[in-house]
Amino acid sequence: MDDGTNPSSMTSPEPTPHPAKESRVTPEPSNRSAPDPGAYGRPLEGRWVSGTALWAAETCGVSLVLARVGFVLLALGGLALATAVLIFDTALFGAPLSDPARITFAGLGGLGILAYPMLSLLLPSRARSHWDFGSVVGALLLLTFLGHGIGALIQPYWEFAKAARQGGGASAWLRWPAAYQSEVGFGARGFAILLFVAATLPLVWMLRRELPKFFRSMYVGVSLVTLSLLAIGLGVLVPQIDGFEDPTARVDMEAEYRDFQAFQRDGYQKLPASLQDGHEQYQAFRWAEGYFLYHLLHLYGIGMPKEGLTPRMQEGLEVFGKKYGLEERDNREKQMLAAFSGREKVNEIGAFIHRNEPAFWRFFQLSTALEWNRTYKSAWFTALMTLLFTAIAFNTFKGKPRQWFSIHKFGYFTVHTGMMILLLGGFWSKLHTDRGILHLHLDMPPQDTYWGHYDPAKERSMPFALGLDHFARQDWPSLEVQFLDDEAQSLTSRPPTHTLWKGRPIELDLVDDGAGGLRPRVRIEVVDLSDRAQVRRPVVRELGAGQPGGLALAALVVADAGREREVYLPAVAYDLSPPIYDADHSFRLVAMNAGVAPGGDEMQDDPLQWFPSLPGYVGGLEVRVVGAGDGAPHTLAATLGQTTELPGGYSMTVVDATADLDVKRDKRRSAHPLPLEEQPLRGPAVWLDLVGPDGREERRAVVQGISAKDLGAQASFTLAEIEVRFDWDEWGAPGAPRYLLWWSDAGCELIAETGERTPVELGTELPLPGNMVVRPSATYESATFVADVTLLPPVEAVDGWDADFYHRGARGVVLEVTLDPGTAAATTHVVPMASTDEFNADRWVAPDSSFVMRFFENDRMLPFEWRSVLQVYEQEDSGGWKPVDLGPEPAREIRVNDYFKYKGYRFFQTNANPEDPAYSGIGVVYDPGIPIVLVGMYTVIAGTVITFLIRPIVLARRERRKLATLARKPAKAAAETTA
Amino acid sequence: MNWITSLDVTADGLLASTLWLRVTNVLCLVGAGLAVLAGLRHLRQRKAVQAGREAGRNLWSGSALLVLGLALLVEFISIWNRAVEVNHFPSQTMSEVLVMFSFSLLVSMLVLHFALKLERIGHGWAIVDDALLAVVFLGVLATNHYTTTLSTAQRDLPPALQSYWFAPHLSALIFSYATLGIAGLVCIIYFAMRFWSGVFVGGKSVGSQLVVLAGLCLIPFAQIVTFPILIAVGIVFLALKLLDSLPAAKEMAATEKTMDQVSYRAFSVGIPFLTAGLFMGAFWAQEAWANYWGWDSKENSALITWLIYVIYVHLRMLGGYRGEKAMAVLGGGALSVFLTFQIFGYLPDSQKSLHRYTDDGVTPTEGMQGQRVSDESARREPAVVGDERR
Repeated sequence: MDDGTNPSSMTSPEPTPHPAKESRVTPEPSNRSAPDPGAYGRPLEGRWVSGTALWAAETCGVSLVLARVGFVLLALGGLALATAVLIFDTALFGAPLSDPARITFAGLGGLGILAYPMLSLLLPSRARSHWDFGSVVGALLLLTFLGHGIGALIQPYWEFAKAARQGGGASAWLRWPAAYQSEVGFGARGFAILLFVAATLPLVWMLRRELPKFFRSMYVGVSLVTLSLLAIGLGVLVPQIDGFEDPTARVDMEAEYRDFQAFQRDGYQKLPASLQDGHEQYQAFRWAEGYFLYHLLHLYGIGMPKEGLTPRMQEGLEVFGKKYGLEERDNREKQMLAAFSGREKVNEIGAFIHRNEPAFWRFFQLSTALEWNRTYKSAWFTALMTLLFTAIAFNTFKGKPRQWFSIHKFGYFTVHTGMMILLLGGFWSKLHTDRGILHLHLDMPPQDTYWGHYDPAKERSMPFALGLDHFARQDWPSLEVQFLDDEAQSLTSRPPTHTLWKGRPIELDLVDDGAGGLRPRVRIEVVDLSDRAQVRRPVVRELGAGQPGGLALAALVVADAGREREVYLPAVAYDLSPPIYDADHSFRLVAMNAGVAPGGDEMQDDPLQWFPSLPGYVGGLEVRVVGAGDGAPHTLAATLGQTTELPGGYSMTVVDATADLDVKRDKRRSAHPLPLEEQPLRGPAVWLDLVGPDGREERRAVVQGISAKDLGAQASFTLAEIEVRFDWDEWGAPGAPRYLLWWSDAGCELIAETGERTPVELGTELPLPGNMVVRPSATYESATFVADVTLLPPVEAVDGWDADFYHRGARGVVLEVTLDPGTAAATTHVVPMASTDEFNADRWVAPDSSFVMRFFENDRMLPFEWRSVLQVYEQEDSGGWKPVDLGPEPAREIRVNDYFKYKGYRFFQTNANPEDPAYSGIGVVYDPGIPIVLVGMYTVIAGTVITFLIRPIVLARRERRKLATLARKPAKAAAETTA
Repeated sequence: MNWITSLDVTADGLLASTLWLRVTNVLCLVGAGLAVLAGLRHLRQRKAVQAGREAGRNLWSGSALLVLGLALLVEFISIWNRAVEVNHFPSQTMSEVLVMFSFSLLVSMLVLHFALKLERIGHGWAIVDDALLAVVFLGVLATNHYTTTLSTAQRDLPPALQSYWFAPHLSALIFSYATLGIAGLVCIIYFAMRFWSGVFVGGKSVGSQLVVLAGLCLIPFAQIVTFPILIAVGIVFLALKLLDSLPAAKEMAATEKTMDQVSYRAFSVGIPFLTAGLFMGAFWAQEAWANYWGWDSKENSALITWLIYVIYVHLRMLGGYRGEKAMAVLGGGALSVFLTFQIFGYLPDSQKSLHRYTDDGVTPTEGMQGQRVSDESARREPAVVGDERR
């Protein structure tokens, strides 16, 4: 690279290491690799064990051998003392003695307690002058484990202090020691802590000159960052106990051990019946580790199963692509391939875990004993962070203050100060933070207790109460387009769901453009969207004979419970237009005619054939076995008692069904007091018995319209690879007597399931059971039927208050549907729709009956947003609750990403229940450390920018100025400067 | 999907974003070729300078830079179209994030080209710039091609992602990943050169050669990251050997020093953005869950990356580390970036992470932290503390 340019002429943005420091701390590589002679003329050899031992020997002023013997004695003595402490502690608190983690770390704590005073007595005046990474890491590890022991000792005090502080304000801090003394007593633990403090203070005093040197060593700084990094990495490599659980939570090792013995007896086949929380932790642990190790052992994907698609699947994909677009097709193919390979891989990982079960179990035990599965909550991690803080502090405030603010140092000073503030805030958070969930319902009294750490057993009180004024969930407006032609009928998977926004174009149904390419036959564009839509009686236009696109239609006036409304019943397949019911479910009524029903299963000339009598049939199941078959969802009939073989060797039996689910009553099957056909249609559900190819069994309740996968609950199933959705068949399932409005040559008739026929006369009540009165006002043999939907303008927001969000009525959309766009035959239809089935306003059938569109709010996935408006109440002297005026709704509104704060408590939107629209789960956080940490973070960012972006620019500019000045100076001065 | 398909701009039914992305790919292929030609031309210019002749102009270099700017513009158009197609800032799925990453690679390269000003220093230095440019072009092409194996389906933003932090947090992190990734590429080229220098020139111990080779081969996705570079550098060294133009030890040392400084400058540009991106995530989490740091595995992986760079900067500034050791730590940082960005989903503690938005088929669990207790709430009436509203 010698091209006549001197690399050193580049303006370097980084500082040259200080020459003195360079020579003292980091000798040249050639020197660094040579053995560093220790104080006794023995090489350190760079090993941390010998380095630490030698350091100890030097520090204690005794020979190496004696130091080692001394350390063993100290360890044994410490362990004995710690055990004694534990026994006293057990007597005082009733804590279990058999917890290995407690014994191990109390022992380490005892070691530290005994070692410290002895070291402080033996400490010589001279200090170690040679540090390297090995000895530094050894010393830091010792200090960390010492810190862990101390942390284990003071833990009960701290928990007591936190509990005493709850709701007590600042003065609780002053009261808790007295309260502890009166309620618990001092005990051996308190004596041990006092001993430690008494020993540490003189030690620190004696080391007052050596400690800054130690912590300012580059080796210490780098080693501490490395140890912190490794500690954090450990928490990534070992699955942690749920991060939102109680920070004091630990795995119950005794229960674990008992369960594991049973597990072992079964040959690792069947989990013991007494499932403990720890066992669930173990299952999650072994799966996570198995998953990781399996992939680690299959680098580059070598040896992993790879599956292809069968020709039949490929054909299905081609049809799907023609209908819904090539990108949709490609994405569907990728999902299918991933699912196939995924299933086989899951089996292999399962086998891998099974083969290595004992090793996984021992690793789990080790992780639990050493608190690796609660790394960030452990005392040793806190100790490490304390050491890091100390080192940063010593390095930040080094030298004279004016140096800190020079351009050379200011960036580093800022970063280090920021890190200190951040760590301080973190400590403050750790000491004070409490988290939980507050369950609120609309129209319920204010609540002042929440579940600490999401645990109902840990109720916590707030010094005020909270009520819920408003709550709403808004879903994404969506559109599904289902093609009705024969080709599309071969598709077994769901049509894609298109989320709608203004201006979105959707191009569908690719056909030959005559020039060797493809063109969309259908183009849909969203013209307008509104949060409010008004649905009025539809516009009906009767068509003449021979005109295509018409439907048979009945306009009915329905009077029920004193209320009269108009209903339009089109003769389309009943899955497109649901039956009419009365409040008591005394009858079901649909309309149908021969030969013109688009989307009908088949054309039926005999009206009685529209009354299917399939014993036990209740609806349709959409089943997908991930990684088996074609990996796509398939629709199956849900028939009671029927067993269906699923792809991949699975089987599914429909065990029971109900039309009126009650989660408190119906557990493993329906316990409804009424037979199925008499149950009101309020919450249909089925119970399935699922059996895997490996013999695993599961009883699963599937509720209509609720997808466990979308709710994130799929993984909790035993056979999590089977995804099921259920749709109740409102016409075909057992229920109220069925009636049909039927058009034939004889005109319009009402046909009962019994075969009884009644001619329909306009204005005359239909002979239907029950109290509801149904009077036909018009019938049409062939008519177009478009619901009259008007999109309402948004309500003007007052002070930022978006009242529309809480509007519970239908939402509206205006679509522009163009058939054969870009051709001479192009026709455009402006279609207003609303997200309600009133007057079938949510559906639109194309004039050529080739497809049907459905507009809906997509509740099958996470919503667009949740919002709650909270009201704070303060307690009055009388004990009642008085609302606090905190301003209008916008000031009290919370949503994800926008919390509400009151008296140090933060409330954020965290939970909702699709089955309970009045319920809002509010996350509660009390954490006074937040502002401190945020200031620290902003400071670190600013410092980094100053150090790496601003500083080099300023220095380069100074350098240029200096060079320019030099250029103007006489040659002599320049020569002097160069020299 | 094969490589040719990633370059096919005439296919039917392409979304506008896909079409423009393929145009970007074509430009990157052209740009890589131009960068190689520019490097060869710089080599000849350097020889001319050494021989005391007029070096002449290097039009290839300017053309490669022009293509870089053009590719940047076209990929921006692709991202813009994607934003229109999905109706939000396009970083919700992994395919979208990777396209943002490849775009950031181009931006970083442009920034570094002007920040490093290697061409102004000399033709030898300019070869490093050309090599980097060629590698970045090919990296963008490889990244964009890889996105074709992922789902491009539109996905709605879950509530937690609908925040003004979304774009700056993602942008800062992805830009820093790209810049630090380029620093990592320099490290890989450095070690590849060191390895082949040992093979063809000698002077390296067998043990250290094996360590370097193992390091280059065992990193995740070595087949698309380090193998091509190792092979390409090997071919260059072989060619130099055949031409009897192998660099002398002094020249190699100068080159290594250059690469060390280049990698540090790339790092200097990237680290403020990594810091900002990391802590912007904390600000966001604080607003969403009142929890600035949840010890989520993704957060931890990003923090580990940051800490590796903290170690690097301390070793370099306080310890005076240069060359192999500093490069190894810097390469470790790039590896950590890669783990955080792409391998994160395989790590044991990532199974319950709140950050798995980009995974196909995974329902984000944000906003549902208390979902499991909602059943409890249905069974258990909350405590009533007052009766005013009854």
